[in-house]
Amino acid sequence: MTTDVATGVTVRQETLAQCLDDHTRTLLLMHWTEVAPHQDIPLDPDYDTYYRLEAAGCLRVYILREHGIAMGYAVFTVLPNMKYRTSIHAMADLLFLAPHLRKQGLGREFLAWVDDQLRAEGVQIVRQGVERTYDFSSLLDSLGYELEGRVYARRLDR
Amino acid sequence: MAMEHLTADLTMAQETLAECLDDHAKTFLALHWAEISTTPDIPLNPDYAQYERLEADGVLRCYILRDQGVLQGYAVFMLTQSLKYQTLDAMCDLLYVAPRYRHGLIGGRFMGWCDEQLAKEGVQLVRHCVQRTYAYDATLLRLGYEPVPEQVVYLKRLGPST
Repeated sequence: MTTDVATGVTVRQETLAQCLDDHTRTLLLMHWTEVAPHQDIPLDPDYDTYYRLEAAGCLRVYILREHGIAMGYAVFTVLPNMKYRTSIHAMADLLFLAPHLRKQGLGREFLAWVDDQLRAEGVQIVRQGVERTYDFSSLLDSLGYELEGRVYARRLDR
Repeated sequence: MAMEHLTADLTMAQETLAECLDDHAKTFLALHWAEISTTPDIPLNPDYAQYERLEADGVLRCYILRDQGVLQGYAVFMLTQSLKYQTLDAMCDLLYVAPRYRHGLIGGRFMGWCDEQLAKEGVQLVRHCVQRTYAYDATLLRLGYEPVPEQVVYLKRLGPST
């Protein structure tokens, strides 16, 4: 089901087969260039595993399109939590909105709509990771998110 | 599997779930949950069968701290090939050291030893998520973790309490 969020801008859940083409791969590269915290590690997506996760019912892909062209995406893994089996949790894996569509309230509408889709599936907790290279914490605050933790990383190959 | 003495009485070892997961360890998990859970209204209910499957698939690493043979801490990691970079990464799933051992750098030395074991396996990047309820940032910084968090995690409740 497609939902209009602005003139010419729609959002909907899609399968990988529907959305993964050369255009979205270019968006992924733009995304990586903008936010990757370890730029010396080349982007090399394991699409086979994404397809396996989709086949297992654990992947959700939400696409924002402007005049039919993908300009944003929100990808989640959705699983019963290993520590709280009674609770289904969603973890954001990828979130991107093309720069020319930011600062217009579209990102907020998109994320609020995504939360509604996850809630309708019975997801109890949704988590978003905010990279130090791309801070959208104020948007999350406005949507009712709260800070849960900080992720520290250590390179073991240096 | 790897085992090393931290002191005459304290040992650090990689163990299997069959070796470490007993009633004593489950009590520690309950203590751990009571201390740091950010969602205490969601009952702890570990999916041990899934942990065993991950161990069988080679994904799980359990490092155990024992004092005279009695479990006093654990660090559990998931080793996965990054979906985006296809590098071998480790994510800390559980980390706990009993309160009486949180001094004299015991926790830091245990965590440093865990990192050495992961490095030997070819792990390129190891990550820890520090909950707001149990901050051990200073220990991570001493171990050489990036001084600025790579990421902050935001959480939103979409559903009611179970």
